[in-house]
Amino acid sequence: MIGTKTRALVALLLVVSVLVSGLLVAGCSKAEKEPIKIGVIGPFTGPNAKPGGRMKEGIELAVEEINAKGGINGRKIVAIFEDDASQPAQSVAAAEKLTTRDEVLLVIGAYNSACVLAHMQVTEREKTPQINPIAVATAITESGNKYMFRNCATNPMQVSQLADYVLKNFNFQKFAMLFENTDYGRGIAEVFGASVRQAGKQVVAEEAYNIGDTDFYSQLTKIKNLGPDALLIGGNLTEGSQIARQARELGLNVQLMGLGGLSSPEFDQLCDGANEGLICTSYFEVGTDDPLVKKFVEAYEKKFGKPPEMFAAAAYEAVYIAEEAIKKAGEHKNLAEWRQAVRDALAKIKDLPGVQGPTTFDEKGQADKKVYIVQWKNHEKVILYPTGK
Amino acid sequence: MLNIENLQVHYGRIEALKGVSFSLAEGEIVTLIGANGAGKSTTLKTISGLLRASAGKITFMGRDITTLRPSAIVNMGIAHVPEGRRVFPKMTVEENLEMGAFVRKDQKGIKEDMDRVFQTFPILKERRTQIAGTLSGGEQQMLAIGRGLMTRPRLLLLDEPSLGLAPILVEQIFQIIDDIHKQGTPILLVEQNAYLALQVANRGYVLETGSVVLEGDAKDLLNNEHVKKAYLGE
Amino acid sequence: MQNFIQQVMNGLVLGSVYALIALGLTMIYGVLGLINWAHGEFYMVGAFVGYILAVRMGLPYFVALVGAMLIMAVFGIVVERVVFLPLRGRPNMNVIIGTLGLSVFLLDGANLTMGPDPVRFPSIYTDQFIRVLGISFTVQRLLVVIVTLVLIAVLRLFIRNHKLGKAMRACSQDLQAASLMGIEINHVAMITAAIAASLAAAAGTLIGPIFLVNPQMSIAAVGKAFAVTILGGLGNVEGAVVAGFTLGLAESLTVAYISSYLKEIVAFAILITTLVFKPEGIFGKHSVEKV
Ligand SMILES: Nc1ncnc2c1ncn2[C@@H]1O[C@H](COP(=O)(O)OP(=O)(O)OP(=O)(O)O)[C@@H](O)[C@H]1O
Ligand SMILES: [Mg+2]
Repeated sequence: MIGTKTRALVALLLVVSVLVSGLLVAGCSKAEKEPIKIGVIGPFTGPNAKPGGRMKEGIELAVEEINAKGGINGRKIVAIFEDDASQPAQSVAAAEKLTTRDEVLLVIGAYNSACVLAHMQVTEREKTPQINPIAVATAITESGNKYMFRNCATNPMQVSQLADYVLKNFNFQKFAMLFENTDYGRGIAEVFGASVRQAGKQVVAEEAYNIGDTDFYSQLTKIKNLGPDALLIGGNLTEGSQIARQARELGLNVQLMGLGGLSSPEFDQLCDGANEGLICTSYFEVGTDDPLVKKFVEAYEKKFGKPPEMFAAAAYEAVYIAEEAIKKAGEHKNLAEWRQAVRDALAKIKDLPGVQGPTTFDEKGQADKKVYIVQWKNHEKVILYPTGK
Repeated sequence: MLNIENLQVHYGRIEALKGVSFSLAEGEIVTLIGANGAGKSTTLKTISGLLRASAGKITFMGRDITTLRPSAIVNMGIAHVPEGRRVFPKMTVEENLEMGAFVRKDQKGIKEDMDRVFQTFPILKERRTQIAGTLSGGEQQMLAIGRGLMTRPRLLLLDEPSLGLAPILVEQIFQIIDDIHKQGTPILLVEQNAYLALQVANRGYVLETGSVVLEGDAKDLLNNEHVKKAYLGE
Repeated sequence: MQNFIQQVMNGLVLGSVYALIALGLTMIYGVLGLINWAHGEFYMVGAFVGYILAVRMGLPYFVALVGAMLIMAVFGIVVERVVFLPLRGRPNMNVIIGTLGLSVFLLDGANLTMGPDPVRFPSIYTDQFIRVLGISFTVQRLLVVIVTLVLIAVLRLFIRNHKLGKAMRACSQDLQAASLMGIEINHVAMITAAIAASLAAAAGTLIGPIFLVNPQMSIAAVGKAFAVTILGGLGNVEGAVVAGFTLGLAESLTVAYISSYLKEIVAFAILITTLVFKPEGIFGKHSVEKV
């Protein structure tokens, strides 16, 4: 039991501390120009809290670095984080709050395509420029939204880059595809299959599975009997790792291929060796010679005590893209004008170096990004493309 | 040996027994007669522990059994052959009889009793491997009684053993009830066939909407005007 | 031909898991008269218990298997006392809410304690292969089928011949008559829940090394288990076994000879056809009204 006296004391302390902190803030803002506010939407709780956390770390690091250099045009920047817990409805509420109440200059986010598709109407309505570093659904940049920019490769982009690489560098004739029975998986199969056929090669098997499936022996047995040279896994790491393992168990020793998710360390762990030789795309690699990447990796490791992952890199890069655009846009008194100027500056960005390679937005706001092609060798990734890095 | 005092039983808010008292002495057949819904089955179910009394007291062989669980009551020697036979439909005749002896451990005695049941009901012996659900109604009734006897009861509760049987089978069943009694097992018999029940019983109680309205020697009840009008259709 | 044999083997592995999970579900329905919506979670918790014993504590695989079954038997008894007993004889809605609540509780509990990410549960048998006649599978897969068949045989013997097994059958056919035989319903209910939970644990511990273990594994499993249980006839033990293997084989052969897109559809097509034409299940005679 807390006595009434104690409670009164606590209340008093609270009031005093609020007053004091208010005075402190007021004191500071007199000395400096008001900071530039950047809104960030991401899943900081819920099923994707982990990648959401990486995303947040990437942004915190970039903001810190930029402020250490003196900010942008003499102003500090602050990031305001809003959690959407991977829920589209919550994401919309977050976008509403950031654009109308917090009056941010620009929004970065989010993680889930469904969330971005839901809240992009809000940023568009409020004519607030948005940089989407992670969500890959094609529709996000295909809907004619003039305020949306994306600094990562979409699915079709990474799939066709993978197909191009494999078709050019290996003499495979017969391809099999095993993909999840969702828009995502079917989209992968469609693009990859088209590239294969265009190159005059054969697709001998197109097999589907459902998310949450655990047994792929039936599909893999069928595939094995059709004798392909290579197998594309069109899905995420949980199912992907089991497909890789079960393929090896069945003696299906063909070249395995996959997309971004299969380049993560978790995938390697779940595979327990079955991913040896698997080729997949990757948005970001730690072990390159790119000085920008080296600097980022060093700073990130120093601040967070672990190497960065793709989500951190993508978000980090997004902040630097924002910095460039805000710098170019100059000072504006009126927020609407300012936002418009930043949007226009974003649209003009060309060959801006970044940790995921140079950024140039097309007229739809999609950056022309190259992905890495990597191969798992003894639990490490060897970069096959771009060569010389 | 069985003494029921002021027994009250409720189904939710419905009062099914409104203070029933009766008794049964060693060696007796006592019958409870009454119309549909009078509370006869409720009385038996409460004795065997399937239902809880809200008031009143049941003593058996000098011991209060009002709040005992069914298994304990079976262990004390009360066998209840329920209304509608309730044999285990997917078990064989033999397995049904084995279930009757569930609480017993004396394999030899069980074997003897099973033989005795087969003697009493030769048809069951013929059908010993048949699934009980496929027996005729009369055969099922015999099986239900036989299963009750397999506990080697000190008291047998029979709930409408003649229900739904052809007249010739009804006579046969009552003959068997009489035999069981003569071999020394006291019986509490619930019947709608009041005439036959009162003929075989020593004493009887008439139950109407949850209360005992008449009691007496079976012979006297057979001649009672009310009983004649209401239950004997005279 | 070898393709066919391989696919049959694949189907038997799937069928084993379906049968083990469905057996518990159907037994709980048969004896306790309630549908356990948390049964998928029994399987998941069982898999985690096996994982903790085998991987974290480093016990030999078979010790972990038996250990998981024993621990889950105790778990089953606790659940019977705490959750099933108060629900017995209640309206269906109470049962659904009660067991669904248990399911959410177990799922969230697993998410909190074990984390949502899948973990590997390697056994020494996952790296040993059997390759004959051009077909190929791990020893673990063979083990799944063999242990399942052994468990089914033991269970069948128990239910057919053991006094307690017979009491369970009696309870599932007529609960009131069973208690008039002096059968202690509470004991039978506890034993049933214990057996059901330990079969689910066996399924989880057998299958864990083949797949991955994570809290979500319960969700996919429970749908199939319900399909199998209904197919075999609610409360019908033999039916659950036959239906489990039927579904496993049907799925695997559908993928092999028709299309992998139709895999899930086949399960539910069989289910719906059964419900329409033979609602008491393919092996069911009309079952007794529950009291
Ligand atoms: N489970 C129950 N729930 C509610 N009411 C019940 C229940 N069982 C019996 N009753 C009611 O209790 C009263 C007595 O029923 P009981 O079965 O004891 O009658 P009975 O004398 O055995 O009749 P019958 O000769 O038709 O078998 C009836 O009014 C009946 O409707
Ligand atoms: Mg009655």
